[in-house]
Amino acid sequence: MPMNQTLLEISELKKSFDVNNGFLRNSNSIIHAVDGVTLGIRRAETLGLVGESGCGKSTLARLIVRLERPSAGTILFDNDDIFQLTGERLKGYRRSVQMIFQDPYSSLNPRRTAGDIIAEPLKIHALTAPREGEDKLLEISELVGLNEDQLNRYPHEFSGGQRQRIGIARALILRPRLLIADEPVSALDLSVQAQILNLLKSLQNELKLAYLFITHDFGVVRHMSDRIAVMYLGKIVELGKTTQVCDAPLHPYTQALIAAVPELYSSKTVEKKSRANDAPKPVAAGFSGCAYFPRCRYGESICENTPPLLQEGAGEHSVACHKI
Amino acid sequence: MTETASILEITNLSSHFETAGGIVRAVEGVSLKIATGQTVAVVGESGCGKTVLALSILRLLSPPGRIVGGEVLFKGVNLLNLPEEEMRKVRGRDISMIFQEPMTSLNPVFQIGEQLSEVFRLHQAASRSDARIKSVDMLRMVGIPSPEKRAKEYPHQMSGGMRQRVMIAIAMACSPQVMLADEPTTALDVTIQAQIIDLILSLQRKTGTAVLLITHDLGVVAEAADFAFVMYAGRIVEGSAAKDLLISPRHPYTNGLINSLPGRKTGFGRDIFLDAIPGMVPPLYNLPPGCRFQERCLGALPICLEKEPPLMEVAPAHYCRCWKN
Repeated sequence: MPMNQTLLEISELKKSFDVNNGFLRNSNSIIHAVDGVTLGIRRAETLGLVGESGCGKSTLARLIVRLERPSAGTILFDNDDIFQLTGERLKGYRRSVQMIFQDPYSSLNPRRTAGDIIAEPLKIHALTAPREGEDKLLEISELVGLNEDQLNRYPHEFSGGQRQRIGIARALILRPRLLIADEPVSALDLSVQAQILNLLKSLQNELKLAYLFITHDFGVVRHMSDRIAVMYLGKIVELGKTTQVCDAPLHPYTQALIAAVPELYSSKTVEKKSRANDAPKPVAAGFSGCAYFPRCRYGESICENTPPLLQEGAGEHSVACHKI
Repeated sequence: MTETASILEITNLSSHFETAGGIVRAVEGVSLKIATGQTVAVVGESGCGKTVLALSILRLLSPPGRIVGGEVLFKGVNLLNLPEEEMRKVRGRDISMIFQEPMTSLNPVFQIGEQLSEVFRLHQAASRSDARIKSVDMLRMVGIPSPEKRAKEYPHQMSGGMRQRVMIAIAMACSPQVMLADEPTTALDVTIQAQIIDLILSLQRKTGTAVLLITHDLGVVAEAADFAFVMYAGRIVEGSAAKDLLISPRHPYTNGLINSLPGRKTGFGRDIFLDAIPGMVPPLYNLPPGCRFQERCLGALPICLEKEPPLMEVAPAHYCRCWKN
């Protein structure tokens, strides 16, 4: 990947958590939530990140916005290591990378008006004179489809979709270059979801934003993304252009994920052969093979002993699987 | 709708909530039938009344909610006229229900096996040890590995998918004739969702239980349902064979929902937008005059603003509430 294209470069990133099972702390275990992720986000692209709950996709997002510190690895933004940034430069990074959350109910302060919530980042970053801030607030609100008199209302007076618009406006008011969207539409009804997805797309076209779009919904990620990364138990198992990953998935896990999506025009008798038949199984400590091996229908002895590496194949389509 | 005798027949059911803001007409004149072995889906977005419909069938609606009219005939008997004591026997034995959130609908302080045993002890007067054995059998039937061991676990020790399996085991324990499934897969990952749907369908094939499947997911309807009804703001707006409804929707709302589904359009890219339905669902205490969908409908006619259309048969066994058909 040429340097000038890449906005954010994640290398060998790891994050593990110590978990105490049982209140006598007799059974400590370590969860490798993010386990050696290398991934680049390009300027103004949408990178979709898919995976089941618990695969580490939200932890990865939290690392990128520096809500967590990594156990190992680096993240470069404009060639600066974000975990080394301090003071003004850190503030600058925070302006450049913003986040919107899944739950529009719990991510807005119930005691503040919509206008206050949206304008708060301006105050924190002390970027503008009050008058100018007012103009920015109105401009961004209009962009996300909120009108002026709605800005004096409180979050509970809005519907889920409108609240998500407030969250988006708050994230965009600082004109970031990268927006991390963690399941931004999964709490919304279908008709509202479509409105928000359209909004995110048109904002991207207008503001030349890069998105890291995290979701478990293949339909959503197919619609939104330029490239898709598939994550399983802390590792990227497949990465490629949207067409490659959706229409010709290589990794058995990606295939199982796509097969699990209910089809609109399939009949009730169709048996889905490549469906996974169980939940993700965290691998035992000391297991050195492929994390997907316990669920994989193609597993062989090499998969049990050697971890597959993410290898680039034709047309920047990468996959981590011994069978490919 | 079909020739087979229906096991559950709902006629003209209305449930309202009397609130300070006015009367919320959550379910208004809903009629539908389910026959043994069938899966009937009720589709709609939040607030369309689909859950209130299920709760009304079991008479579980709590004040200020109230059933204000209609009939719920189970094998010819109107459940709405049964004394509470009789009704309690129907719940769980003849008609059971599974809920969306398996986390909150299981009791956190009792073992899984104990919660399952309760069903057998209450409805079949089984002894403690018999109930225990039957419970383990049920857990095995819903595909829970090492059921003897899992029966002694508490809900928090299980994953979401496993908890939903336990809910299904409880609901199927007495081989009910009707099962109401309220968004049974919404809180689950797609891979687990597929397993749960497969499980419900395979149990249904074995027992012939009729399933009323409440969902907002059109994909789930396509996979699981024989018939489908679309609800909007308390009303059924369209109903037909599930396939028919998805392939040739007649109501603009159904059509809008299908077009809102991301990932179905051919082609990718920045300039591909979804045909979203504009606006939002009107508050149920303040509905627009005429058709309830008129404010969001792109093809509304003058009559749509004045008069609410009735549910009309627009094609054989395909019903639609729209003046444009």
